[in-house]
Amino acid sequence: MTEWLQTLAQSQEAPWLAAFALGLLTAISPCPLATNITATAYIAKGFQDKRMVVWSGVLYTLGRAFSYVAIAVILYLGASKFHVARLLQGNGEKWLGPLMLLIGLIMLGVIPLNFKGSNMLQKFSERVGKGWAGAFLMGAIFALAFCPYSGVLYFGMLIPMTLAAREAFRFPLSSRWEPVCRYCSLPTYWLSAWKKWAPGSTPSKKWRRCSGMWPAPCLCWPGSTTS
Amino acid sequence: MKTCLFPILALFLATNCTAQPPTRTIVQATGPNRIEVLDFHNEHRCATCLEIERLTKKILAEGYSDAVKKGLITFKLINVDEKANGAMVDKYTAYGTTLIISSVKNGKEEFVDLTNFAFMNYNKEGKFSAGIKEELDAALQKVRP
Repeated sequence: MTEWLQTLAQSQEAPWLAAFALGLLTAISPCPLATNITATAYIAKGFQDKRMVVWSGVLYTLGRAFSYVAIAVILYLGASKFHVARLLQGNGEKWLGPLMLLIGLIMLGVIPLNFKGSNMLQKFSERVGKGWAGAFLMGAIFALAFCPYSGVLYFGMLIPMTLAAREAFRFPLSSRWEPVCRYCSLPTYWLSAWKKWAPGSTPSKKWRRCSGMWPAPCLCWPGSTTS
Repeated sequence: MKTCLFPILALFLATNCTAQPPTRTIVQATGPNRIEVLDFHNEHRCATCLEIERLTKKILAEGYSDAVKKGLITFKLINVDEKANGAMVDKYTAYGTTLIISSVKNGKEEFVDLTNFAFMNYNKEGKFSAGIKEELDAALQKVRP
């Protein structure tokens, strides 16, 4: 399957399909896959309804697509691919950790940001902390952390193909839907299975937490955090 | 069922298209006639990057040991995050993991960027070896008097 996708990704006469194949290859390669699983498991635990879980996955995917399209627009407008790629690939993963910590500390109130006569920050935390806006934002931020494999697929293959085709910006969108939605919905389906298996009972908080932790073995597997 | 046939057929037809050729660049150079295999990488190396290095070294050791011993072919591992390598990084526009085969003859350097090829074939050793050998043989043809 991977070999077939790799062949499809290199086809010049069907750039739409090539872009789709590149998206799938990125989505199933170890480092973005590990990120997607962790992010969607985190987002999904805030929802009980299966459909909401799938929609949160769609929003996370749209967030990623937004960042990819934004970078493509910047490159289309004349920015140097080399400099943008180097900036993101060399620094994205270094900035992401401290950025997430900073946002977390602000949202927890450890770092107070009080604007006079406004509870904007509190409203922002409530919206982003749990819900669809949070899923979108998480996707948009995580997309900026390129690993070597996703960097080559995006900057080395997708962007040159996009700029050559001049239809621009649509290719970065055609990716990632199906795997992300599938991973996102798994914890909720696990809860449904529990309810069928033991009708009338609900899994304890501990077990519910475990449903969100299922990707952990994938992350601990040797070599799975990079591709 | 019929509605499914067209997209499936289109997908299979698309896979028969030719792959993108590697990009070639010619620049001025100094020094003796030689071939350099340049493997650029970031500070944190991925499993794919390590596999590309392993396969490339294996090809050189098994098929080009004489040329390597004579110094005609050299393999260089270059960390793009080290400031000392800045000039090399800029010259080959190596923003991350990048595989270059460079051939220098009579003050002219021609290099080919095989990064996309390497990332698309690192898990197919036969195809990877065939592609790299083809480029190395072509480079040897140019460099040898």
